[in-house]
Amino acid sequence: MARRSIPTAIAFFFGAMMVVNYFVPWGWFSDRANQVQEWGLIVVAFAYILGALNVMRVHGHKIQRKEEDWRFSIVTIITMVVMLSFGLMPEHWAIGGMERGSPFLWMFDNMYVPMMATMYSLLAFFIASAAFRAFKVRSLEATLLAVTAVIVMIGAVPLGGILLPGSMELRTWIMETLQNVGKRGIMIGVALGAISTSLKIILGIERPYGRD
Amino acid sequence: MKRAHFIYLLLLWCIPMMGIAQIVPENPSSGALQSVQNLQVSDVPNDAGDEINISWDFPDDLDKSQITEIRIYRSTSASGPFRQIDAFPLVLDSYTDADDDETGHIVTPKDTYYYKIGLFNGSEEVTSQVSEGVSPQISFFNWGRLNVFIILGIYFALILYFIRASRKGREIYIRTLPGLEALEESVGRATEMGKPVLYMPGIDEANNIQTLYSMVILRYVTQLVAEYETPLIVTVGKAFVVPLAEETVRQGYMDAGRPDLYNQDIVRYYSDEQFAAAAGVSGVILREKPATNIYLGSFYAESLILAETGFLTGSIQIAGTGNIHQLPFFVVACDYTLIGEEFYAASAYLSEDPKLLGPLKAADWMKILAVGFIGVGAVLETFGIDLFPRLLQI
Repeated sequence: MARRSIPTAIAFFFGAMMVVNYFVPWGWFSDRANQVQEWGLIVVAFAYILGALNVMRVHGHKIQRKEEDWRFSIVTIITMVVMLSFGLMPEHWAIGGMERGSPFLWMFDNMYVPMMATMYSLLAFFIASAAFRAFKVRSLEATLLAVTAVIVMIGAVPLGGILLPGSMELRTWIMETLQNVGKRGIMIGVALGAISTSLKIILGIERPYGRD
Repeated sequence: MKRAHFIYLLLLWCIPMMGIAQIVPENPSSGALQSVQNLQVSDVPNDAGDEINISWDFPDDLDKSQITEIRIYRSTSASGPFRQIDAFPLVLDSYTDADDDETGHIVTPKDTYYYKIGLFNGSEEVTSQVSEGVSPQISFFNWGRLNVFIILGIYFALILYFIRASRKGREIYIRTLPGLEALEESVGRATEMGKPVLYMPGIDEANNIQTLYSMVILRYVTQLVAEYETPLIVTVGKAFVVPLAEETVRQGYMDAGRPDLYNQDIVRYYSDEQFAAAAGVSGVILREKPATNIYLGSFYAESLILAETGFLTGSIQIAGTGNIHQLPFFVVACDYTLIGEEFYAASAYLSEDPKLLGPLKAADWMKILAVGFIGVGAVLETFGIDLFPRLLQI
């Protein structure tokens, strides 16, 4: 009984506190609410330890069992340990700290950033392949989608106005009127869903935490 | 002779005088620096008693271009001493004196404050008269948000009413959601193929309601895979979500009566960095080729990378998010997509629990109310009546 009611009571107390904080500007109360949010940040900081342990455990097991592609797991663990070690070294050590010229920042700028940029740039190719499938004219709806997409694309490039007169104005109308209407309709639904879910969690009707 | 001489001298005197008259401005006072007028101070309403509004007017004939700095002076006594609390080079006609913990600047309801405004032109300064005293007041309710309070109150009342009605046996209809209907079928397919089911609860923190709600759905999915004895992979993009996901999965297996199927390698944390997590999950999809990929939660630019990678490996893909900017990508690349509010209906749809069905009906009524507001508001605006924008302004 207590195993269910205590987490529910805690969720209700702090959840209701945040809702009340939105309506009550009284300094004493908002200070308490901000303090609770700071506690959350502290808990999040500790969660990184759990995250690192999870990586070590999952990949350690993979290496231990020599599962498929287990060598990649060795690379993962080595890179994590190396980055962590350099990041945790005190700044006054020659190879420590995260300042300019430090090995940590060098690895971050010259290895991590280019890899992230590569992943992001892959998105362009994924968009092209997804668009190719989406714009196949197979039905009336798909035809409407393809025609609208062509108008929007032509209207978005500087030459569009010459290639298809009026396309720029049409694109603006499609984006600001048709698109916004649909988007706002979905947004209202999302907002109502988020509010009702929050209330269900605060009241313990829906419990993503604890056990039943 | 003398007279002619006098007239000659008079003319000589008049010529430079005419020139001087042209260069002397019409109003001799406009060149001089003058103090601001009509200095007004007032308490900022609906706050914690820690802000004061100050406003002033510039004299009509003042040349503002000569002002290089406006200085704000404050005292707790009308007779002073006044201390400069701020200065800025912009020619503004208002200022808010606010409590600031970082700088240690204090505005408290305990004191009465008096202000003076100084205009500085680089060499001299002119200060205004002392303002009336003002004491900031603590507000215990933000009346500016009364409209939100009323709307939330109506919504909460409707939710509680429909939960009660649903518990008493009132039938609540939910339209078919193909994405959720396909959930069991997709898990069955994974079982037949002997391949795992991949679940990703987005890449946002646990304080995002979508991530929290994704945990609720993850529990249902875990129960389902436990019944079929299908392997499950949960990929996580935030360290804080790891313990939540582990607990949810463990509980899901226990609910299904198969705690023996749970192992610690099911939940896999990749990185808090967006594209590092995307690369890691894409790697899992390409190497382990899950038969079903379920993406339910808060996603950003990585949504298409994941969904397209899943498409390439031929997985059945079910996605759902409240981030509307990512919906087109999921719609294009996934077999089923839960659009916006459908995502929040998942647990009610899967469990058919009366407690969970009630809020869906309440949300429908709120949508009817919103549509009514939009319709009436549009008509009123057409006739130039701006009642609704004023009522709904926060």
